[in-house]
Amino acid sequence: MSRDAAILWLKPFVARPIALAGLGILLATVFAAAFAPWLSPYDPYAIDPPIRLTPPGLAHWFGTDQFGRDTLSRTIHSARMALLIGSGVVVFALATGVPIGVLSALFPRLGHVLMRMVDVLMAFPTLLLALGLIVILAPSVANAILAIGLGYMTTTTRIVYGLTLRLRAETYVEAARSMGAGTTWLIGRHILPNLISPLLVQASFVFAFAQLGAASLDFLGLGAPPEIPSWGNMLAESRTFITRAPWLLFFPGMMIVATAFSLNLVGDALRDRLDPRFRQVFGEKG
Amino acid sequence: MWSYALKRAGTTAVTLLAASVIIFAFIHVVPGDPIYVLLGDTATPDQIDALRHQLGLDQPIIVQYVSWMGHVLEGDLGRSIFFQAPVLSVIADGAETSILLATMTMIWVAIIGVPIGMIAAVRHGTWLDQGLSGAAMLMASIPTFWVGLYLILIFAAWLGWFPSSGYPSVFEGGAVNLRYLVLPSLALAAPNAALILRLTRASMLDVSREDYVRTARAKGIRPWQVVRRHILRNALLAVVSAFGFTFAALLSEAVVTETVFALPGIGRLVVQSILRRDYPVIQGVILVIVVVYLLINLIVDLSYRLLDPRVELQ
Amino acid sequence: MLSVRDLTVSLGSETAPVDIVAGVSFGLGKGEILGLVGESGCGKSMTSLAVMGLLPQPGPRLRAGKVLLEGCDVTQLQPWQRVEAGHGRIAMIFQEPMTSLNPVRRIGDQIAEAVRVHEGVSAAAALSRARELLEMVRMPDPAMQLSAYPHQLSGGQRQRVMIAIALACRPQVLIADEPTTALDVTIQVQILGLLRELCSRLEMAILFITHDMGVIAQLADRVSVMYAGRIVETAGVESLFGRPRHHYTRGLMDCMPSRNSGARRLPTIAGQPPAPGTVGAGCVFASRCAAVRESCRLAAPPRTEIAQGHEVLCAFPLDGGVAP
Repeated sequence: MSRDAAILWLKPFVARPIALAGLGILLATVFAAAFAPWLSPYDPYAIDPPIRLTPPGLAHWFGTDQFGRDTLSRTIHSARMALLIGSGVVVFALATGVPIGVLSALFPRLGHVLMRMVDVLMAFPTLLLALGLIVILAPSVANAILAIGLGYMTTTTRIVYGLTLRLRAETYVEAARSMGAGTTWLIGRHILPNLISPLLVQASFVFAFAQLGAASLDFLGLGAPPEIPSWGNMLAESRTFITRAPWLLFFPGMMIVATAFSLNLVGDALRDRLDPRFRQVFGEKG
Repeated sequence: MWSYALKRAGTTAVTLLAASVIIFAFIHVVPGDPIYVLLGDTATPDQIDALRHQLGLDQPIIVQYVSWMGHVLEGDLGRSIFFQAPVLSVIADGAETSILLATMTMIWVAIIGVPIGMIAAVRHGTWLDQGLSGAAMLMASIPTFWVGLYLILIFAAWLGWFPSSGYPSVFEGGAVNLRYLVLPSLALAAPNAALILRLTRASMLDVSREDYVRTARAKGIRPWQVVRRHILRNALLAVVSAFGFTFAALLSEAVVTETVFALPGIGRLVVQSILRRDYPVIQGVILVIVVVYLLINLIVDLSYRLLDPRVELQ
Repeated sequence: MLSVRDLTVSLGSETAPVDIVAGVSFGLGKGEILGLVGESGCGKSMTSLAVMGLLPQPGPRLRAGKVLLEGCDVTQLQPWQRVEAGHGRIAMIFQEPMTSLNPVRRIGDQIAEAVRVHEGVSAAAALSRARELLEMVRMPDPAMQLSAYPHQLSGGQRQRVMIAIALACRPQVLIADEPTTALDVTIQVQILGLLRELCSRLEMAILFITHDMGVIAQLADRVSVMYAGRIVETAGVESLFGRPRHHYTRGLMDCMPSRNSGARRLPTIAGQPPAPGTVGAGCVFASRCAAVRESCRLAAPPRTEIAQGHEVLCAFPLDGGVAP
């Protein structure tokens, strides 16, 4: 990326310190995920029954859980699961939504059929769709990604479809078509490059909502296997000890809120620098 | 208007039909033969064949779909394996809780989201607006079950103001039982109020940039009268329609909240049925929620158009 | 009647303001039509919104200058504040009659609302006054139209409704910001005729803003030509068209098609107006002026009254041959 382009992308963040803070929290999360084994003071799986449910202190900054596992270490390691699920859902949503959306907009007859199918999928509320899929596929990390991703595939497709329709109507695209530009060339030169910024916005929002969706699945016991450290799993376990060990509730929850909030802030800042004609394609739900 | 209504109803029917195929297919793609699920591992081959024939599972899949659809249209959604009762009555048992919970949530959403969104829009660009919008985004980023657990911790465990779980019917214990729904509805309201707040603010700002608002100001009308007579009414049209969608979505969004508060609603029924592998119930709930969701969408869309005088001509 | 002195509208911060309207002054007498003409972006609409107290917020602000209505200072007052202060008799109509009326409220309501603000009469009285106003703007079948919605009217009818709303305050001054630009030519002629008629019948002054020299020539008594946020020339309509003194005005007239210009390619003024904030010490038109001299780039030109009622902002004005 050239220096000018970098400045252009950073501009919305500089103007808004809170968005910059969001970006900072995200980078910290990525850092925590990447270096989890070195950052964690203890093994996140190590059970130590004598010190079970120890409140936060010098030895265990975030306290310990019902098996005596170190909450701080588990919280740090959970960042990996959060990023895995988030990026998995984003990749799934984009990998399915972009081709379907672009092709539907360029080929109206195909588009009519495909968009009707998207409408049908949209009749299923996102969480219900995810739950139904989990029943069919059995709970696992990969299936959680698929189940949540399916719900955001539909919104992504809708957005890509709307954007491509607008782009197709642009004079320069019309001109290229009238001069006999092939579809592949059109997509590669005119459509996809213009979709990058709006898709980055969509990706941040999907990433944020995927965090909340994954946490819900984990909490219901239908997401990642319970022994794997994830913020949702930690909250599910903390439920039983809510009055005896409130710290178990606090830290993982704060992390979910911090990442989701940061992603929303970043998405919002990016959306504000979008072309105004594209901005209206994003509804309030992202 | 009538031709539009007919067309819109037609689309809804087609969508519903397509959705029904997916929902029908659900029971055939879940792991395990439904017969084994129904009879358990100990059934003899004869018993299996007999039941297979009785349920029509030896018929071609199209025939099965048509007969399933016929039963659905008669209100027969199958039998729950766990409860040994008709699925529809199992769902009906949870409906009271779910509907009351959704209604109470919408009341919070309306009294929190709309006025604060209005204030943010009227004070557009000030620190108050930025603070309120930021708070809304924060609220939308908090998992409902986390809010729920904290509400239980503070208002049930520590202060003891509200019960922490369960819900005895108001038809048996009177309206006082609504207090069981206060905490769950608040938890559920948080992210939805945030969305409505942002929507109210955004649509009021959209409307206030309209030329006709400038005309109103040029007339010499006081600012708050401009808001009341020209901005609010037009902006709330969009907000009210979002209310319909939110209500419909709440019926399924409540899954996690109902689990946290152990409420006997449709949401918890889904989760428990998943854990019990009670597939007919899951299928029935999905069907009912999709039907309700699409119908509410249809009604909202049509009434939205009824309220807009521009539609008269079409 | 209306006097505007050194009006300056700025964007940007208090410390580094960018003037999009810089020191505009003009006066408007009883029953007079003053045309304010200029290219789009020259600040003519901002001038009118600033006079009216309708600058969009957040956005440009009135940084300096005075607006006097019959000698009373109404600077910075929004319309409702002017009504409170008893100076409500100034109204405005806009370019887009399509979007300037509230789509979900009846025509009658929208006019009556304006009547009630200014006259404090009952709802029924306001409605019957609304009917009179619709008659006054020659709306066909006014009684019926009271209960119509804006989408049921044509563009010209909507602009008539806008004028009726403006007339509700019995204005002494009507600001018309490109009121005919969005309309068909035949409708345009009717609306201009209506404005002319109302002007003389009600002894109302009109500030008519347009980019169309042809419309100005038909309608205005006096003309102010605006360029890059400044009024560069003001004169009576005959004097201005007969003997333009500013090089920009002359350029504008050369661009006007006339009946005998035939298929000849119309000349254009080379270059672009300077972007706000890039204007230096010299004359704003220096970068495009054919007769530019070195001194023009260094010092701002003086405003001189070159003939009776004919002001020009130029150090080396044309001596004024008759325009072709």
